[in-house]
Amino acid sequence: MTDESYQKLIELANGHIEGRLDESSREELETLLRDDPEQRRAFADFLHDHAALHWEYISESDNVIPLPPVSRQSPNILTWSALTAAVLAISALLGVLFLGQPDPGSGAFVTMEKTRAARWESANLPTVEGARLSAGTLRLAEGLATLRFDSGAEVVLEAPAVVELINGMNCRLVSGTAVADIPDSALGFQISTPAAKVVDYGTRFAVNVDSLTGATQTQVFEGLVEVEHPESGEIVTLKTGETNFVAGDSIGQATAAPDETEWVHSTQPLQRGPEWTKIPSSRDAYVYSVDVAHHHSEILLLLKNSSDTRGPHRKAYLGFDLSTLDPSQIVEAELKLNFAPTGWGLASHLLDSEFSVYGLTGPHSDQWQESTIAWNSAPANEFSTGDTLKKEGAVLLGKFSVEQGFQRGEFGIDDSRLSEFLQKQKGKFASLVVIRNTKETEGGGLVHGIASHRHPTLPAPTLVIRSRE
Amino acid sequence: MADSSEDRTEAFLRLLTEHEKRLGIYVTGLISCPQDAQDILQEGKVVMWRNFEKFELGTNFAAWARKVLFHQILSYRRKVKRQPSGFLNEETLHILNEESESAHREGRWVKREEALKQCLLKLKEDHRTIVQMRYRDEASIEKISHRVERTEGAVYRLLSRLRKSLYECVERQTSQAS
Repeated sequence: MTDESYQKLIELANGHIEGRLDESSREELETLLRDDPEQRRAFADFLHDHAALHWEYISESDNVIPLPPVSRQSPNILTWSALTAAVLAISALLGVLFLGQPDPGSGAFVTMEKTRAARWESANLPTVEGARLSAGTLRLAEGLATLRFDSGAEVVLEAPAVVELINGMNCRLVSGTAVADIPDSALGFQISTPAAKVVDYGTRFAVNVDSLTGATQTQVFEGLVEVEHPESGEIVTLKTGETNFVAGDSIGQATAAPDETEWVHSTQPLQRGPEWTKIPSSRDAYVYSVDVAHHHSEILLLLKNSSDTRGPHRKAYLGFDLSTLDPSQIVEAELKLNFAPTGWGLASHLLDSEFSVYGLTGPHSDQWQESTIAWNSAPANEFSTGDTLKKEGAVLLGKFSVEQGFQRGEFGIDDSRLSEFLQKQKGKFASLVVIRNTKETEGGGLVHGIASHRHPTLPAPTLVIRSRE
Repeated sequence: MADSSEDRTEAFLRLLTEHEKRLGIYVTGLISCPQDAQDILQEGKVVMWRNFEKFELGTNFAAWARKVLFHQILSYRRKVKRQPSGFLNEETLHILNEESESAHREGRWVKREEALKQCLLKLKEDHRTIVQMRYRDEASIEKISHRVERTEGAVYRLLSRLRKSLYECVERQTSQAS
């Protein structure tokens, strides 16, 4: 640093300290600091001396926090009065009423603030605007949805996306894109993904997760975000306008983001680790109470709960061969069903629909065949209704909802009752029944369809099972 | 055995008390105006307390707290940026923050603070009074100029010169020591 540039720097630093820099001088200073590490260091030290002078005098005066004496020998033993004093000191120190520790896990902590052209799949949470949500999983198939966490964090999901709500300060993005806007109250808000942990120290950023690989891309629009790679513990800090990638065992450095970032929009199902087994239905069929001419399908399993007590009702039977695994070792299980339009009935005559999945428990519950199963002989079927089974032959494993008008998409259940039921299948075969609980509002309502294992393109009804090693 | 949240309350107070002055210096070093720095530190302490559950005891509290405070600085700057102000732009703040982090790692500033005390004692009596008025009494340049019966320009230049000579004194002392 020449003497001339040193004098200039000191002059600018003094002007800055006294708030006397005009705009052009400030820009001159900013350029110096950006371009010259030596000047930067000198400036930082100069400002530090200024700050130290100020705080040296501050701490001489009585402007420090009164603190209860804490015994160093026995830090765990705190008397009641010391505790009370500690609490009072915190209140005094913060100049506000005592703020309780946030309490995660108690009930609802998210509001479904706004949805745009949203279509949900397999939501085990309510999805209407204004709904209060607790921990659980949301699957957005189409559109946009804005979630407001009680901490103040706002997360906009862009379809297709799957997110697990954990608590007011944490969520897990399994796939798709989330755009977060984090106010001061939610500083430290975390979005974890299969590959990374994104911790917010700033205001607005986007995270995208490739559903196939879990690869995570983060981009900061404004503020500061830390991306952590949990495997290596490595952390990359992203500032305004920066982006990075985390994939598999590597974490990318921060780079400047292009104007139009390319986000991954894979619709492939999430790839799971080797401890997961997928079992498609080995047989499936639907039974019907009234034979409506030509209203049959080879490739779809039809579901209907008619407003007329006699029907036509339709229920679907699914059989799964569990011989490739040891049922007693099952830890977790999900049932995945792919819906497709049948072309029959009016969506206007049917509101949001709830479906139930049952497990058959009778001694002959596996004694049914695709070609011969019929309404009157189907195991556990309650012939007189469209929405029940015989209590002694079936057990409820879970429910899911499909919004009015939606006829496509993946739905199903993810419920401990399902894994418990499967564990008990010593015969290594499980029979499930799917029933629509919701009746049409008037005759001619929509017939729902689930892809059978005979469907040429859509996946069969599938159990996804995690077993102990 | 005390309840864990009580333990944490105690831990928070202990850590904050231990580090408050250094954190104040950190903020003031980045934004220079002591009043703004006080406001930021105040807001930052609330945020730290609210998020203290995420702090892992036994790890570096000062580094964690500086992260919280740096965020507060950025958002404070955004809040007031419509007014004409002495704030440096965001890029510069990031650069200076990195410089500050490396100074902390080197332990450079602890050494400077010790030297600064010595250097203050070396000032002439009337010069030290000016420094005290500005820093201890937080008097404005205008007020000081009335008190010492000089023009504002003269006081500004004198204060600038005193800061420079203190800086140079500290530089000499710390380079001798190392």
